[in-house]
Amino acid sequence: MKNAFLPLLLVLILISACDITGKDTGANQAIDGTQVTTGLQNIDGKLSGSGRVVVSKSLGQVRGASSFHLRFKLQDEGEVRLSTYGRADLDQSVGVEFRRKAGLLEVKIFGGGVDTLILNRFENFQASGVLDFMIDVHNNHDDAAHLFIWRYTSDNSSDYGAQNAIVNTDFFKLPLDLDGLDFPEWHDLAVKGNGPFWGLDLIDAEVEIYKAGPPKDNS
Amino acid sequence: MNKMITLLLVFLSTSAIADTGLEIVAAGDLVYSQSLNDESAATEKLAVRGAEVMLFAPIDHIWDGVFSLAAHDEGGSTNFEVHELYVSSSKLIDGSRFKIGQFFLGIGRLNRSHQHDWPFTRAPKVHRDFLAEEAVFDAGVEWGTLLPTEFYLDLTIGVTSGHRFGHVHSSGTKPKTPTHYMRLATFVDFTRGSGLELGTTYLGRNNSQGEKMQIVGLDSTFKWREGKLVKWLVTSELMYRKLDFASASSEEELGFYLFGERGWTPAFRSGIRFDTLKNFSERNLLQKKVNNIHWGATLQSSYQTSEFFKTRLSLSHEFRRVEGLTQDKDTRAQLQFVFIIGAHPAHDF
Amino acid sequence: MKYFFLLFFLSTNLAAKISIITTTPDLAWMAKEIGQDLIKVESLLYGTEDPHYIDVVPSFIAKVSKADIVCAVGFDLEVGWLPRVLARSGKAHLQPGGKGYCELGRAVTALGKVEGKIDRSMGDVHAGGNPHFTLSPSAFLQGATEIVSALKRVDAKNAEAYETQFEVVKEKLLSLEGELREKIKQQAPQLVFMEYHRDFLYFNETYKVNSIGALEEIPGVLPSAAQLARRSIEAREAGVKILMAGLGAPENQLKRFQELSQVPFIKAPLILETSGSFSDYVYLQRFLVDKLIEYANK
Repeated sequence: MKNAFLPLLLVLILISACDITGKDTGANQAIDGTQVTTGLQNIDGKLSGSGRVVVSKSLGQVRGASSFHLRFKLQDEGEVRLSTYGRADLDQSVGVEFRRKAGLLEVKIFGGGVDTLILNRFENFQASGVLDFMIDVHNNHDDAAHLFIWRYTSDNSSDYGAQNAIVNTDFFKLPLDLDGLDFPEWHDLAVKGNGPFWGLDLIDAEVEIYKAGPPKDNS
Repeated sequence: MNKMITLLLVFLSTSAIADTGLEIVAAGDLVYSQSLNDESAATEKLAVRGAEVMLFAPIDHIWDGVFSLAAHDEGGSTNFEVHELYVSSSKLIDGSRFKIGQFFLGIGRLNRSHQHDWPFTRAPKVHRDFLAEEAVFDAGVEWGTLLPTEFYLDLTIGVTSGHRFGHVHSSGTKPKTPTHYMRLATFVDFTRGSGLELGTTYLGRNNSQGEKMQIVGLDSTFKWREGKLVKWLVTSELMYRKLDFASASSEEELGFYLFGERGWTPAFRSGIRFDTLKNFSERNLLQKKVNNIHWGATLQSSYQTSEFFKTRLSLSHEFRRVEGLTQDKDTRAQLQFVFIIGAHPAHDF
Repeated sequence: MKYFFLLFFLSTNLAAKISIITTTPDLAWMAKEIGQDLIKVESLLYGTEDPHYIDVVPSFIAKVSKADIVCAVGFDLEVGWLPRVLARSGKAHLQPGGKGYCELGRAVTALGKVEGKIDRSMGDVHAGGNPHFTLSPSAFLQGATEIVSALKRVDAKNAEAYETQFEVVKEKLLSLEGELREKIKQQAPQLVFMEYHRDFLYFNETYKVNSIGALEEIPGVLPSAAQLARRSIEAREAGVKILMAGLGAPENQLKRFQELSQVPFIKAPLILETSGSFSDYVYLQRFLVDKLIEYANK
């Protein structure tokens, strides 16, 4: 019977070498939540102008999955670029870019040097109004990161699914909607982020909410 | 894929299969998940988590064959995939077992069995993160042998293509180094039919993007059986994973789960599981090491009318604690129904 | 010096015994009776377990991998675990159809075959025949011919010795059977009994004893309260004197049956054990017959 406890003993030895409570060690004390570059104004948590913000707290695992709630407004030719799972300078990240151009909303998904322009799924969005999205980035797949974009409804996972996403990278080729042309599927490009950080690049935009959380879909 | 199903059903219904030793088994795994807090990612619907059909038979005097086809509900759509399609033999070389084809990798504890046979509903955190929601399967060759010792010491070695690993939505890409693994296991008898199995696993792979993965694991399973009743089941796995990214950075994590279950009667059992996972590489923008831990606890009760039908109710709470702050809390209840029809092959210990 | 080593090699090989692994102690006893000093034999089970519900225990795999012969009861008694044990051993000669594989049920005239449509709603049914034939000496001897055949295949040079010894065993057990049959006929001619699980089919046929069947209506499933009540009435009306149950039978159900029917029960080993009084087949046979006679005359 004593042999049953040998693996437990080994575990206790291993975990006694590290903290298992997740207690505060002061590592985040010098961080004021975000790191804001020049050019951006931060009033009551709202960012506006042109510049970059990189969130100081990482997303945890590089090979993890997260959701991002973004609520923003774009001026004409304005842009909000969400970079996730990148290095500290947001290099090697995957993400989504929203741009207002000639009154229309253009959306791109990018990563690993690849830019995909999504042509016709955002035609009904008022590019000049408040834009509110929930975005999932699953950076833990063996092939490409799996991205979803939903219209924001609530923080509840049950409101978001693979079938009701505006964009689900499972379901499109590159570039979008150009039928008959021989383009690879997103997942065959094996594009993933290679870091634990995320942030935003703004050009003439105002961001009200930018929040990361656990993924909303588990596909 | 639907054409394949139709062909399979036609094939099975013909008399041509008589006297071939063909055995067929189908397993159904239905799960209802209910979120009990806002952050929970529970689906809040009764879903066909898995419907699996397995066919197995001797092929000839040397080889046996296994074919396993599964359907899963993924985001509301039914996804069919071939889980296993392999030939195996214990008759080719004395003392050796071979598998050639696509199969669940012979690593760890959970990965070697089908999800509907697990003693709990949801995969532990470390299994979900390092391997998959269900299990890692791949195409290749696996060889096993009992080492020439007085006591039980079993060695399994495998090499598989490595084009895919874990959760994948494409056919994958050729890796720089294929998936390779080994498991060494021993056993301590307590009585005939009760004992403790201990195993150690190593797995390595270098994917097409130059991302190197190494996993080392320890697994243990203790079972105390009294007649029909498994009075005690205690199983655990400890896994360490190191990822070396092409960008020259790396990530090291350690995860563990411990599950204990008491059988009160052959029909009724209850259990508890603890999960934990720690990321040793997490740093903030100031490059300071961030203290973190993931914890989970699950309570469950199972009722079965026979070994072929069981229902299980579980209540779980998982959260992450980062520098003293609790986040990503997921509290959920799950109700699971598992049934098996046909001739189910024997399970390992 | 080389001749010394040659002699040493020859002598050790000449003395090497045939290694037999059996699933149950009954089979181990029979194998030892036949093989005597030419074999070493071990049973995987102690005899206190239920052979229907055994896991694929790794130590079984280790033991089997070193055996020359593996003997099983058959009739799907060990179907839940033995095939996997054999496959994991990696030994070709021990796989079904191999030189060292022996399944006693293949040589037994099966009783209790289930005809017609069979499915799992009928419980743990052995369609090919009832596997509990070792409780009858003559049925057990039928099955034992498979042990003799396996020994002759694996150790041909001692074939005559195995044949001769088997005849000795046959005579011993048939003589015992005749004696006990006569004893029952004389001392308990009107005996009616009941069994918890259908263990006594071959025993009843051999000793011409009446059983009204099993308390367990669906094999492998605990009898419900309604089933217990109904069978209790049937037992009283049929004049059942005793309920015989194996060691694994559920105590609560047996006690409840006794309360309702006033019929006493006995839990006893119905297969041999690896040690103690019940490690001898002759002792077990005498014990069962004596118990039945004792209760028949109460």
